[in-house]
Amino acid sequence: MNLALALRLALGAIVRNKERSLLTVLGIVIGVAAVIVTVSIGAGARASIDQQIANLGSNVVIVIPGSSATQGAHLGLGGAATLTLGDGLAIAHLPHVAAATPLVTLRTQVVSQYGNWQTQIQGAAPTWPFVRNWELSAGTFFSDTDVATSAKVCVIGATVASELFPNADPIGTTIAIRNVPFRVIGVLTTRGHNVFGMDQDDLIVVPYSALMQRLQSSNVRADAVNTLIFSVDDPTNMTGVTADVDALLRARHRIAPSALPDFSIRNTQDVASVATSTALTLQILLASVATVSLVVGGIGIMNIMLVSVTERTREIGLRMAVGAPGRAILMQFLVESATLATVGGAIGVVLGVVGSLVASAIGKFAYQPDLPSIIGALVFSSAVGIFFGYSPARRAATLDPIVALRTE
Amino acid sequence: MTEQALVRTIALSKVFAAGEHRLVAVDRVDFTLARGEFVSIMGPSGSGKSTFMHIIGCLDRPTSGTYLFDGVDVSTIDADARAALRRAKLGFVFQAYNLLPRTSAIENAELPMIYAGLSSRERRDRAVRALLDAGLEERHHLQPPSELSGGQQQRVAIARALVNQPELILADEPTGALDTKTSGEIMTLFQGLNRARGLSVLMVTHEASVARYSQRIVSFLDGRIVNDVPTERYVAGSAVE
Repeated sequence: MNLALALRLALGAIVRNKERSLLTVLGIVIGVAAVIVTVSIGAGARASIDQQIANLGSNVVIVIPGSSATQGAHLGLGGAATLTLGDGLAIAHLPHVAAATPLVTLRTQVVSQYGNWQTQIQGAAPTWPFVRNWELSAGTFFSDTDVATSAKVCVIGATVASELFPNADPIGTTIAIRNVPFRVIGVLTTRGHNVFGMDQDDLIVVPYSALMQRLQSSNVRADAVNTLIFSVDDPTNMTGVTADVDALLRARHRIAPSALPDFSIRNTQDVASVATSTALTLQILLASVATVSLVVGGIGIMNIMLVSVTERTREIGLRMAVGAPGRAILMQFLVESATLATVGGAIGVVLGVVGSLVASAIGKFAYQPDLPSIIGALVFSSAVGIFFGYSPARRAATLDPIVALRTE
Repeated sequence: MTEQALVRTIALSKVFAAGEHRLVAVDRVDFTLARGEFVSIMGPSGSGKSTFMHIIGCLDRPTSGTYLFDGVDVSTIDADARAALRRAKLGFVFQAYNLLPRTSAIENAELPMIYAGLSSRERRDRAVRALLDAGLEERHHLQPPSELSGGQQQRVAIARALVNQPELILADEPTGALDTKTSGEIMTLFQGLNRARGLSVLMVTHEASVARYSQRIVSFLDGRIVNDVPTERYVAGSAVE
């Protein structure tokens, strides 16, 4: 009996017992579909994290105010106004620091001649586009002169542009931020949503001096900034520069090297590695759950194949009586369980690809059917079928034909 | 010896040992079946006739003694060689038909040829011819066993036994599940195949009326042959029934 014939016999047996075959392979179907969806979600998540990291700028270090204790009450990170413009200038003069910008932020309503919109206003230095690795789609960014004169100019994000100027060119027009007129001189390129679903294009950038003097309420400390962002000239200098900044700020804030600092330094490489390893851990977790379900599916196949061998004992006896050698019986049942598992795997692949498309539509990440994982899933499921089908097939092949023929 | 016997056993024995109990199912049986002969084996349950039949059918091996099939000693060959012998030279017909369910008559008849490695075209041709020879009309060829009468099912089983052109047909109570009329038809079919083609048949049966269709009747009791006579000389009750 050759393989093609065994395959035809197996398919015949599977089709004759459609319902049972389907239930038998359900475990495999779910396992394979789960593996494929998991892999594609993991790949999508990693790709979008990588994109975010690249958006942040590759060698960027962020300094935020640390916790401070006022009369015993600890404020959270970023809660204290401990960073100043002076800190920023000092950092900008450190070796290997390519560019630095302070960030002062507030949320407020802005009004154009076409509409109004609440958004985040960021006060920054002219180095902002370089540090944030963010280009303009139109117009220009503000200059050192604008900062020196606290010029009422702004650069708006794509979302703000579309909200305030639905059908018009914003460049050169004037918008009111807290009733202060600002001239729009540039529009940023579109970035889209970040990992947490926040719209990154929903912002307006103005010279920090203009924000501090014209928009901020007077009870805020005049030179306090929310964040200092700077980029390092080369990734290899990241650790050194981070240490230098730590020492510099401790000296400026008069904090002993052993004491808790009133600032916190984060660099994008740390953020990136944490995010990537989180994504990887999640993917490994999901993949192991999926693998377990594949193995459980295999046990399901073994179970049903054992039942099938018992049910078909007479058939086996008959096949032996008409001259089937043991190996032909072994092959028949082995091919049957492998075929079952492979058919289940194929159904699982289809469901998995559909599931991945749905997941990518919901999670807004790009999905491309991954051929190696599809082939891998198919090969693995037929291997599961052969592995778990062997013991029932062997049982069938070693039956005594006389006993088998007498079975009711 | 003028003509070599198709089946010849010399002091053939089969002993089943279960713990301390020893059951001698077949006890030093000498038996000969000539080519072209139609022989019935009769005997009560437990007389050893079924075990003897299994050994002749190469489904089982003797504990001692010699079994020559067509002059070749097959008493000690291994399982694969026995399977090959069953495939090439033996055909089985059972009381319960043993057809595959949800499988057409033609595919049931094709079954032995799958293991003989014939092409699908030749399998189909031979299966059709065998079904017609066994008296199953063409309109029934695509029907599964569940749609056929008992007699028709047994005809499919007989066709299945014929397709590999065996030397010997082994029939184990072939009419046991059939009514008298159908039994007669099936026995006439066996008789016809035996007479027209010289096909050798060895049949186990309980019923003297069925055994009458054969040429010779062999009676078993307690694992031994107690009577072996041509049918016309057989007297019912001469052996314990």
